[in-house]
Amino acid sequence: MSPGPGPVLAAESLAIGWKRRGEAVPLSSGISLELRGGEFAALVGPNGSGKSTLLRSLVGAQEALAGSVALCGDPVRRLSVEERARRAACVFTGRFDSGWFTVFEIVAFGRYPFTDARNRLSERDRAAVGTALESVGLGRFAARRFAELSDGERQKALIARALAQDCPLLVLDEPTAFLDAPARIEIFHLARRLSREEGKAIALSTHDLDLALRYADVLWLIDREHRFERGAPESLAMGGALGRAFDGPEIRFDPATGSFRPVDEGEPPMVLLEGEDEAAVWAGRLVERLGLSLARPGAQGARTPDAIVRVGRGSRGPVWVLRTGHAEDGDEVAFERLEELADALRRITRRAAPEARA
Amino acid sequence: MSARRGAAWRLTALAVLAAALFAADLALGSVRIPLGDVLRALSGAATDKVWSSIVLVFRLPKALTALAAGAALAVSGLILQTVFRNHLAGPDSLGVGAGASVGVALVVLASGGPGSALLSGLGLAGYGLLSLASSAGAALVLVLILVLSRRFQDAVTLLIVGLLVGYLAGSMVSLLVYFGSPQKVQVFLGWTYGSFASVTRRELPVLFGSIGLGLALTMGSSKALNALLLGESFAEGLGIRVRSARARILAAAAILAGAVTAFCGPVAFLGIAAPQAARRIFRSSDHALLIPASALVGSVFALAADVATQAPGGGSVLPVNPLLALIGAPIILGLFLRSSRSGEAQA
Repeated sequence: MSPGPGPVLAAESLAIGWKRRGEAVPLSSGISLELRGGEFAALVGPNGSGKSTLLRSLVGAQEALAGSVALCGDPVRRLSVEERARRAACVFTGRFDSGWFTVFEIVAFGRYPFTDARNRLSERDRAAVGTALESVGLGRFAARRFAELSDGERQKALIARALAQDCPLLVLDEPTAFLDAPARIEIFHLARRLSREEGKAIALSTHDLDLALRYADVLWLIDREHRFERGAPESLAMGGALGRAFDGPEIRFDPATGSFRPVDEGEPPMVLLEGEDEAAVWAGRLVERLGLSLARPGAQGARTPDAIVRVGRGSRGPVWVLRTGHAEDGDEVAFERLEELADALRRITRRAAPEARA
Repeated sequence: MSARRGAAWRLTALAVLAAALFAADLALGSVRIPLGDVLRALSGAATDKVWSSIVLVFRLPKALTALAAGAALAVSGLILQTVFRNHLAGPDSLGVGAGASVGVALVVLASGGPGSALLSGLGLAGYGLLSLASSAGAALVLVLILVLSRRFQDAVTLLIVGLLVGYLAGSMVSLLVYFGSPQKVQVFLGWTYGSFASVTRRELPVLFGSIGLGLALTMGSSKALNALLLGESFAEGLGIRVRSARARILAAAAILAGAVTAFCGPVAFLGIAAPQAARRIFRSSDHALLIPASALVGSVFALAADVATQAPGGGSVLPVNPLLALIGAPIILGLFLRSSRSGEAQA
């Protein structure tokens, strides 16, 4: 069905949780949100914060403790199971034994809401399966056994299954868990493309905060105290909501860089990096990995650097020139390999350490 | 699609094999009857009176029973394995056979009439009652396991539960046997050996009717079965009403296993083994194909075992139960070895 003029998904003062022996065990409450066609929402939060429960409650797979959810304008729990399957397609976590099913057969499950009791596929059903497979880039895998796919390909095939279901809302519960880095990026890329090009409303839960910040239109956040917040990724990051949700004793969200870094005692030595090219980028990564603080020329409020790395050009490729000590009497050493630069930078850390303690 | 053609070819081959074994089952026995006369007796053409009655009264019902019972147990096993998402599930391992035994033991051992007269005396009504009691016992066990399975998601735990339920039912049977009169106990013990020969022509419609109902329920659920194979929340997400589908499937499994157990005794092995063989022969998980495939494999094994019961010759016959595993286990082991050689994952 096609999304109407209103939001595909709307929740109002929702309380989610479990009922144990008739007694409500609330996880989170006061959740109000809205998702329209073409919008991509990423749901983030620490383990156990209730991400899966929220997604399941939003699609009516689980009863909410209070509040209301509307799916394409109708209360979700009043919809029949069949009607829900035509409005929301879900990929939940949980491994299953796919037996001898081929990729085509798995994706064709998405046509269940449309086939007869004997599950015969019409030409239109077959075309829908083919299109779904193409749009996740698995067109040539149709005849393969699903069990033989890699984790990333499996996840894409399951997304294709949800696409074949032809619903305005797509719900993906941690689709990037167990995937390697390139496959994670591909999934986020795919999700954004499906929202942009096919007008799907997409709700995706994930632990890949970095990717969520880069790709999602909206961030839904549940923090450690099970409070729900929503907003543009940037505003949640700047407002400190992300930090409140994820900061721990060892790790802290740094709004300045948009990434997590370990909590250090005292200020690490600062290295000023000059240069823009690839050699400079990777030298910067090295500096950060060693736990040193990285500064760029012209950065405001920068203190005096403990060392300066400048990228130059040697006869056999790039050279990294390290200048330590004070500007006048400091000495310069040029390195042709990053490993040598790393050793020299480590010596700076060790030299700086006693000062930091003092 | 070549895959579908291959499946059709394999189904045909299995059907031909079943037909050949069916013919052999009619032709072989303590009395030697030429195949031509067997066919004449079947078609009603004039032939030797004794031969004709041997074929029509004894051998035909026995062969038909083997055909139907094999199919029913195999399909019952297939759908239990799907609903419990465990390839070790089956009417035996989940205690369904034991539950059916309790039902039968209650009817035979605890009924008012003299035991020896019961089966013959009550006639069709007696077998109807027996079938009902056996199906009810099987269904009771399945419902109990289903309720417990909501608590224990883990498949191994579930099998242990099935084992425990089996012991529970077994001890109830033991107690009933202990307090039963000698004649009744003898009737009951005869039933536990397992045989396709005890169904008379008048009782066949009851057996076939029950099995037909079970198979129809199963075929009508093939769509839900496919989805349930991937999990209940997966199936619900596809618009399947999981609870009612599961209840329908378990009812079908109980009717199939219960009816066969009532008429043929606790026939082991087929329920677990035939679906495994079918999956490997057809390399498919699609129930629209696996249901007829398992049924045919089950029929083939049951008919082969029934033919083998005549092996000693000279009027003595072997019991069916040990022969089933004796013939079936090596074949299925061979199928497993073949698929592990070609590097396929177990599934």
